[in-house]
Amino acid sequence: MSTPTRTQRRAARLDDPRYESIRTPRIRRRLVAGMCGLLVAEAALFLLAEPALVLFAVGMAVLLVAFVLCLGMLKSSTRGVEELPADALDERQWQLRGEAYARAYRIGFGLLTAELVAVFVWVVAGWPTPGTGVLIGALLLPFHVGLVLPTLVTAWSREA
Amino acid sequence: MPPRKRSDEPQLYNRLGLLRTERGMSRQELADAVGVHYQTIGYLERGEYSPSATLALRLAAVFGLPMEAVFSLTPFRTLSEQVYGTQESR
Repeated sequence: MSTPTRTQRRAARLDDPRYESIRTPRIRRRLVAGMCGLLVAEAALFLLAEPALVLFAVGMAVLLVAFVLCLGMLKSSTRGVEELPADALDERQWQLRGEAYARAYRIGFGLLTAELVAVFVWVVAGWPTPGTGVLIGALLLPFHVGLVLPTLVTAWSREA
Repeated sequence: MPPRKRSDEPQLYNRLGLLRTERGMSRQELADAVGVHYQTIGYLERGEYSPSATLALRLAAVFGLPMEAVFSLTPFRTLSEQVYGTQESR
């Protein structure tokens, strides 16, 4: 018997029957709401980056742990359909992944357009330049949203 | 969510559930035989997912039947209707 590849091990871990309890639509949607809450909390923390640096650092450390836990549960809840390569998925899962990515692309495109409009309005209105924390947040948040968006879309839309 | 069907895509009927039960196979066993996830067998049995021609042929081969005996674009007659209905007409 050949040794399972890294992909096969990852697929087996994400398909672990022990996580069946978090694969119900209700739990998955709660996890999606939780992850959205973490992203909102991250955005709020960036506002504190300059006035309260220690609070910002502690908050970010706590958020990082919560983020990793929540993302891990989300990926287990979707069996990693949005993450695994084609050879670890069957044709239905592959189709599901394609639909999730198409929807995530549309949502991501909308969010980035909204951010661009906000920057444009800010510049045109001549409002004061925001602090470094806000600027870093404006760069990092879209990156984080882009990281989790396919997982969020898959978890939100899939039925058990 | 099962992959959505296009609105113009016809419903594909199948006898997978019946054949699988008849042969005493679990979903996992059938899934392993054709190389898909066991959940996909459930989606197929409920008619929520239409398989590719390759998968349909593999499934039919597992049961040793021609594809048209397992999949159809028109609803299958029930077993009782098929067995007793045919006998009555003789």
